[in-house]
Amino acid sequence: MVEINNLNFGYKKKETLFSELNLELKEGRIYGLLGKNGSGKTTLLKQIAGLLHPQSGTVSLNDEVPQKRTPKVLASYYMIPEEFETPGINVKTFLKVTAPFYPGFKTKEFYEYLEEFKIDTKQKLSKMSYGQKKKFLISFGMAADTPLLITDEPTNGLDIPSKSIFRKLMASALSENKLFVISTHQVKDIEGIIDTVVVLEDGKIVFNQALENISDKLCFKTLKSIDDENVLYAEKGITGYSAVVRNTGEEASHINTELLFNSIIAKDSKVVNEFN
Amino acid sequence: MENIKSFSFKRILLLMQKTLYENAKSVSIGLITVFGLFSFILIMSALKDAGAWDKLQAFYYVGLFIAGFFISGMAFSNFRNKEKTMSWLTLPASISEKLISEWLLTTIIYIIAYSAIFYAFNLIVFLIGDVFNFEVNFINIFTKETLILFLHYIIIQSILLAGAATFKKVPLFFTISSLFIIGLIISFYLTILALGIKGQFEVFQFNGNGIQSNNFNYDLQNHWLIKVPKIMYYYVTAPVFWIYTYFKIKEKEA
Repeated sequence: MVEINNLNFGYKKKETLFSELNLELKEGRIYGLLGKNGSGKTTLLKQIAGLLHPQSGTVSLNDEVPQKRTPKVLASYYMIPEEFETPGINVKTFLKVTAPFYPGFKTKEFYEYLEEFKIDTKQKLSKMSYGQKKKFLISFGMAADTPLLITDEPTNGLDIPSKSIFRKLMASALSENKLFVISTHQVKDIEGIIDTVVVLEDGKIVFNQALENISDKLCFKTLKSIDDENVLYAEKGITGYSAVVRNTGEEASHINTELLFNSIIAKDSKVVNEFN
Repeated sequence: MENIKSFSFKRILLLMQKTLYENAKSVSIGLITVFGLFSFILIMSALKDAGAWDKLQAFYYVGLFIAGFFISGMAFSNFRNKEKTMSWLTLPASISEKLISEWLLTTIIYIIAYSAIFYAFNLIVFLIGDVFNFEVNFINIFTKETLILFLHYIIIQSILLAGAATFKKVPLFFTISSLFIIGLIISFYLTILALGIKGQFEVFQFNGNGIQSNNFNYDLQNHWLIKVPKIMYYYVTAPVFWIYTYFKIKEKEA
C-alpha cells in the first residue's frame, strides 16, 4: 500500500509543486493517474519511488520509506519511466544481470510477454526502437512480480496492437496483493483496465474515485440538447453532445474516461463537486 | 519480501557483474588502450635508449596511477545521465552495497586486472627479447614499496571516487582541478611552515620519505606540523572520502 501524508515538495525552495498532498493507494487495484502535461504526475511517481526527497511530509510503501532505498523497499516495486536508457547488451544478458535483484522474478512469464510483444530476444537493447524498448521494459517490469508496478506514460511509443496487448497483460497480471499505477495523459489508452481514477491538476489531487463510485453517480450519454439540470459537463460533437450526466436512477453506462477527465479539469468542475 | 537482507555479499557480486557486462565495451577499449599505450611508450623509449626495457617497473607504477585515475573517473557512470541514474538508484541493492561494488571494481579488481595485463605485456616483451637477444626482466609487484604504492593509490583513489559521485560531467577533470587547488593550499601551508620554523623561505622537496629540505637543520620529519598531516593522509583521507561518497549517493535524486 502507498501512503502519502502532507507531502510538500518543489524543485526550488520557493516554488511549490505539492502542498500538503495526501494520497492512499491500495492493493488489488489499477490506478490511472491522469493529468495534463506538467501537472506533476512524474514528480509524484518519483516521490513514490523514493527518487526525490520530500521537503516535508511522508511517503511510505508498505510502511517503509522509499527514500531510504533499502534493498527490501527497492525490491517491492518496479518503475517503468517515460524516458529511459538501455545498455548495449541483449535481452538474455540483461535478464542474467538484472533479474536476480528481484527475488520473485518470473523468467517463463517474461519470455511469454516478450513473445506477445514480438520482441527478438537476440537483439541488443540499445539497437531497439523506442517502442520496442518500452515493450521490453513493460515485460520485465511485469515479470519482476513486485507488489507495486509504477508506469509513467507506458503507452507512449506503442503502436495500436501493442497498446491492446499492454492492456490485456496488465489486466491479467493484477492480483489481490498487487498494486499498479499507470500515469498518463493519453486517457483513452488505459480505458478499460483502470479501476480507480486519480486526477492531478497543478500539483493537487482533484479527483480520486473508484469506477464503481463513478458509475453510481454519473452517466455518460450522447444528448441532442443539454438543457437538463442534471447535465454536469458536455462537449459538442457531430451527432449531438457527449455529456456527463448525474445518475439519478441507477442507470448503467460505459465510462468515457476522456470525457470524464475533461469534465474534471474543467473550470469550476461540477463533476468534482458532485463527489465532494 | 520479508527475507531480503539489508546487506548481502551476493548482491555486491551481482552489482559488479552488472557493471562489467553493461560496460564491457568501454572496459575492453580501456584495456586495449592501456596495452597499446604501454607498447607505444616502451617502443619509443627503447628507440632512444636501449636500456628502457629494464625500466618496466617504473612503467608499471606510472601506468597504475594514470589508468587507475581514468577508471575511477568512470565510476558511478550512471550518474552522468538522468535516466541511467533513475534505474541505478531503483535497483534493489543498498547504498553501501552499491558503493562497495564500485570501490572494489576501481581498486582491488582494477589492480589485479592491471597487474595481469602488465604481466602479459611483460611476457610478450620477454619473448620478443628472447628472439632479438636483449635482456628483459620480469617486474616484481610483491615488494614492500609496491604495496605502499597500492596504499597511496587507494588513498588518492578515494578522492577520485568521491569526485565521480559528485560531479555530473567530466568528473575526472573537475576532481583533478579540485586536487590542484588543494595542492596549492598545501604548498602555501608548507611555505608558511618554512617561514614559521626558520623565519625565511625554504625549498622543500617531496621524496619517498616525505618532505625534506637540503639546508635545513630541524628534524622536519618528526615535527608535529608534518606528522599530523601525514597521519591525516594515511588514516583519515580515505575513510572521510568514502563516507562523503556514501552520503553523496544517499542524497542523489533523479
